[in-house]
Amino acid sequence: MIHTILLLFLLSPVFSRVVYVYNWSEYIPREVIEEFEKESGIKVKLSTYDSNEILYTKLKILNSGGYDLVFPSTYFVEKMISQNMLHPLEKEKLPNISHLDSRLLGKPYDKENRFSLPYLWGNSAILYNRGSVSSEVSSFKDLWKPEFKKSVLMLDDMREAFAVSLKSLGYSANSTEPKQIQEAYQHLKALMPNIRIFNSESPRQIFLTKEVVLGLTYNGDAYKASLVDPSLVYVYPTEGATLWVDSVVIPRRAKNKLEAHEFLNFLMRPEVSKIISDSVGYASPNRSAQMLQDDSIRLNTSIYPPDSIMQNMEILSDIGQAVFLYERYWEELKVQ
Amino acid sequence: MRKILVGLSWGWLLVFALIPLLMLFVVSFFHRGVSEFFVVGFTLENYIRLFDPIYFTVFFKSVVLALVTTVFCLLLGYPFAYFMASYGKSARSYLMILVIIPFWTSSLIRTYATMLILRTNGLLNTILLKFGIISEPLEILYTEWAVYIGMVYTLLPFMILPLYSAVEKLDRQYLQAASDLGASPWQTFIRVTLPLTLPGIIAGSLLVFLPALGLFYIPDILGGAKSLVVGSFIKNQFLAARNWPFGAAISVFLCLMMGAGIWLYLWVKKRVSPEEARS
Repeated sequence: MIHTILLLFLLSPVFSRVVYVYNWSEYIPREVIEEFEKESGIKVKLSTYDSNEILYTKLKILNSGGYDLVFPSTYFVEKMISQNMLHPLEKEKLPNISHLDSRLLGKPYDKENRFSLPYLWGNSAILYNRGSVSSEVSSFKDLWKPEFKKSVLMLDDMREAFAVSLKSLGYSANSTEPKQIQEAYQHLKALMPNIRIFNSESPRQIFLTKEVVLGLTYNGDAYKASLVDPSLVYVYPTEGATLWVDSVVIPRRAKNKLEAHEFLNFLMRPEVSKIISDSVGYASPNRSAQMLQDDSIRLNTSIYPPDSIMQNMEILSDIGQAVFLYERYWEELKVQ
Repeated sequence: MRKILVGLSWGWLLVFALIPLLMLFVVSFFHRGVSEFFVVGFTLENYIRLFDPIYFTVFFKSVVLALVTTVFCLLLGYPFAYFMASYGKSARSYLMILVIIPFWTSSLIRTYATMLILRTNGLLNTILLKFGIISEPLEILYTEWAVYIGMVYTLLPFMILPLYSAVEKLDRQYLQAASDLGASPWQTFIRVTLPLTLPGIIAGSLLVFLPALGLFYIPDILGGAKSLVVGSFIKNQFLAARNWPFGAAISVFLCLMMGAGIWLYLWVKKRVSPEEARS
């Protein structure tokens, strides 16, 4: 018996400290994790998800535990804070905060960044194939043009789809007015003949195989697609794109909070944040990391939009009970 | 020993099938919560909501999808099973292996592979264009056609296997007797072969129809997630909309429908097999 225990002890990994990380799929490069493990002796256990809903549902089932570090987007941070699911960050353990870009701090979903810090950020706007479009695309309204029958890609995300419709009607993407929401639904219904596919997992592939001509896409995906096929152009519609920030937070009942802080601080190192941003294709919220990046990325307006365009963007916020109305219309849209 | 084994399998069923089903049943009568998955209470509102025309449409469309898939599988599977059974022993096992091989990979991966074949510049279009059969690439991916192709492809083996075992059991002397008595091949088929293989047809149809009702990733991946089927609808209620009571109510309803299907099968089988036994 003693021998077995001793053997198990000897065979147990060199790491005695672990951190359970739950992140978006393809959102953190292997080399970053390996570097951290080597340096700190903390084992990183990574699992991945592909929608905020799944993250939120899992954390709820696990009663805000199970993971030490998770990456919700904008309005989900707000939701988690209001439901007391998060642990306040211990800033004294995070000296690398000083590198962060002030433009991405103090956003409405967590005004003092008590619970969250930005990890990567981006926006959703229009990607189109210059070769297959007769005129310039400049507005969300262009998606409704009859010439694009069965050739539009829409993100399979209720809030993003409604944002396109609401904004093209001149309303806020966060509208809670039943009348406006209904109008937006009617407008989306009129868009259905043009929609070839709803997809938010890999819009890039669908553009590259030329199944669609234009559509709503995330900027990082658009950037990667345009590297393969330069005729794919990313434009910011005149109505304004939606801006989102994927944050890092620590669930309230996380077991390894110390390790989580250590990893979070590591992620905010300029060199590390640069590697992440370069490989994933989304913008770093880290001022010092941005300075280290290649001009082809740093000056690329689809990754780092100029201030004038950024001011025109809207952040999706938690809309409370109005979300039930959105859901109802979203279901109706997909039943027809 | 036997007692232990029986007890174990009952325990297994209890823990992993019966209790979860019971939980589902109970939750289906609860209220919806804003920040919780459900609020304890009693309401029939989730079941009443099922009669809302839009959910009825979801059910109706899913049933049609499952039915059409079953019919196509039967039309393709019957001749295949019939000829497979009429081959020699070695050819049979060879064919059987061909039917089973696809199961070695995940059906999700096979669905993605189907996508590669069907897309605009995919394998199918490339071949058809090369041989001049079509001049414009066919638009199949992200249409209903793609969904049917994917469904039939995935579920066909479930039709072939029970059909094969029914056809194999068929005593060929009956066919000879029928033709000796002057029946045409068509008459023999309709009046002898078909009734004798009916249990296989029903078993195969159920094995295709029931999973076809619940499969959601094929319509999502190959159809472009444009129209909701009951499977993705339930998934959405649990994950995206987080309306567990309503999701549970739909699941219970679906279970009842499937239960009715199986009951029907047993009923028909009872009526068919005495004849089989008599002969």
